[in-house]
Amino acid sequence: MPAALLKMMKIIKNGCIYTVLVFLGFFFISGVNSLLQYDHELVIHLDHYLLTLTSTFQQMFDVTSIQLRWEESGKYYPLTDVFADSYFYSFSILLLAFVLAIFVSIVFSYLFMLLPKKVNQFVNRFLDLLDALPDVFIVVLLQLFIIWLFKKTGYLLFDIYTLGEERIYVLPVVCLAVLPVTYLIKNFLFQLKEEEVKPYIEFSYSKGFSRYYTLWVHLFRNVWIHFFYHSKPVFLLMLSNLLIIELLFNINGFMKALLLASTTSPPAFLLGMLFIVLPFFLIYSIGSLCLKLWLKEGITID
Amino acid sequence: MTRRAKLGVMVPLIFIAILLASSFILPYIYPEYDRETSSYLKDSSGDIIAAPPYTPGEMPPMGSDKMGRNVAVLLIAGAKYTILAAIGIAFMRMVIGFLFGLFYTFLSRRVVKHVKALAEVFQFIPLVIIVYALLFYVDKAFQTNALGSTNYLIIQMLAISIVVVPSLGIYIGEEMKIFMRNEFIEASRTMGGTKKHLITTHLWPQFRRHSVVLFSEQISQTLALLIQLGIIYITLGGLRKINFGIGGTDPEYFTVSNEWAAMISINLTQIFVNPWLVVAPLVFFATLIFLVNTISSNLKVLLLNSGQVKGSGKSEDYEEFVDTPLSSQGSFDFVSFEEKSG
Repeated sequence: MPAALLKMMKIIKNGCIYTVLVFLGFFFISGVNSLLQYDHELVIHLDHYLLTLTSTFQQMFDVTSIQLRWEESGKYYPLTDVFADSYFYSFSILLLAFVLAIFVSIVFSYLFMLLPKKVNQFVNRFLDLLDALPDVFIVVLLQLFIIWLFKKTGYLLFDIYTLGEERIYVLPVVCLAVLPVTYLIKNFLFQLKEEEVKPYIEFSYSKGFSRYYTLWVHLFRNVWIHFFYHSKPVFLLMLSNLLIIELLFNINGFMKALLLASTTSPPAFLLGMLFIVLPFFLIYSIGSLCLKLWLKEGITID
Repeated sequence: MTRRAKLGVMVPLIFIAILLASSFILPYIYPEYDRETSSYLKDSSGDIIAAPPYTPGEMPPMGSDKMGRNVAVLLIAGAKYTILAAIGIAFMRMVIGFLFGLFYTFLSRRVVKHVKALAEVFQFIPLVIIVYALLFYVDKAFQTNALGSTNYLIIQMLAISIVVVPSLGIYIGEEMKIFMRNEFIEASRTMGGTKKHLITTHLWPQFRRHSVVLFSEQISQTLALLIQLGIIYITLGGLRKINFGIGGTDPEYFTVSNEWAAMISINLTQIFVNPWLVVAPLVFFATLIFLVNTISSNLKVLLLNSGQVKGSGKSEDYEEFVDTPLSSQGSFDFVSFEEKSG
């Protein structure tokens, strides 16, 4: 059908424009460290900036030759090694924390829904309190708690700091999961409460189904879909927290490499940014496509 | 309902005001707060019981640093820099956000689609990294004394404000776009309302009402960003770096202002040895962020009537019913007054 074909063409065209724009945008950001200079007054150093951009452009054709200077040792490492080494480690921490956060927030919001209303208000206060805690604070407190436990019992629960080549998982994942949990629970509870007053829930109760069953089967199913739309801010939050966690746990992770690259090697910075966005781009493209198919056309959510 | 919300705004505000006031007064009534104290603590019989840094138990409430100075006092003295800088940055963000929002609202639809998509992608890059990269050479100039602390502070505030355009700017722009779909805007356009007229009579009053909430939300976000920047040794007004150790490999950082984020960064290396030095500023930060968050959520209830707290019980519904005529009358007057005056 020509109409469908035209639609396909349009989607492909838009996709191409989008990709080129993103690439260009990151390209312009990659040289940002040479934009500002200070020489008796603040100078926006366009010459230097453009020079950086041209050299970045040239280097992009030979990715294997890009090297990253690791600050602590002062040694140069090939970019491909650094990224390959740290990328999967950092993203596995991110993914594990994400799964953990979802799991915990679902269990907790289910439990909170079962609680009486008065207790619920108390829970909301507590969530507000938890929301105010800066990410750094949570990490530091957990680290100190593990040390305190170690001093008291002589038993080191988890490693709190990376030394040398070893890799730690448990504590970084837990720390990274804490903040999204409060955000997710808050949103879940809000959606659940909006949904709870709708007639079909009442109908379910009137048919004699228990609260546990109705909440889990009927209510949660309808709140699930909203989750997809809330996952993006969660990822944004987690990505910036990931950097903090890598710094505080002394993890040689991807975000730390990106931080280094942002000032030492613009082409590496450009590649790093693309690598960060790529998985999310894939997830959201596939996800929205699946949702579209699943919900069929005509139903929209916002 | 509204009374409780008003209280929820006033009480935290008073707390912050007291903190600010004491921060300004402290250097006058206690000028030697940041001098080195006696190097040992002695008990009543004259025996030495502790050497600095004192633990919170030895020097309440939050211990002392390596020079024996009371951390809590230092933090109160530094509060003015942190709070005022956060307010300043939040204000600049609002100005930049509003200007960008206007620009965004009047862009053609085809361009807007791409700008929005781009901005969404940029949000994946942590702000800390962008600020760090932006300030790289400026920080170097500061380290070599080519740049004064005050100028550095201004540049930093600008940088921290401008990086928020992809998130806040687009958000404000989108809100404005939704607002522009109102029928009265269309009517205004039909009757020959220019862009300037639309901005001054419709967009600006609308923005002003929302901006109070946005502003206080930006303050708490700025505070969170300041902590994160503290971790990578970028703090307001800069840190002096002096290298110790063999071959100058062991950098030690100093702050003049005792600004909170700076207090975190200078003590970061001692976190496992003297944890209170890092925890104390973080506690101050967390308290301040909590206060500001409380203000924002109560302002939301007061100004936007979209608070998450909806009347749940019957008695509350009744109260609201009694309240409504008065409050809605007030807000109606307010809006119409705005429109006439503009």
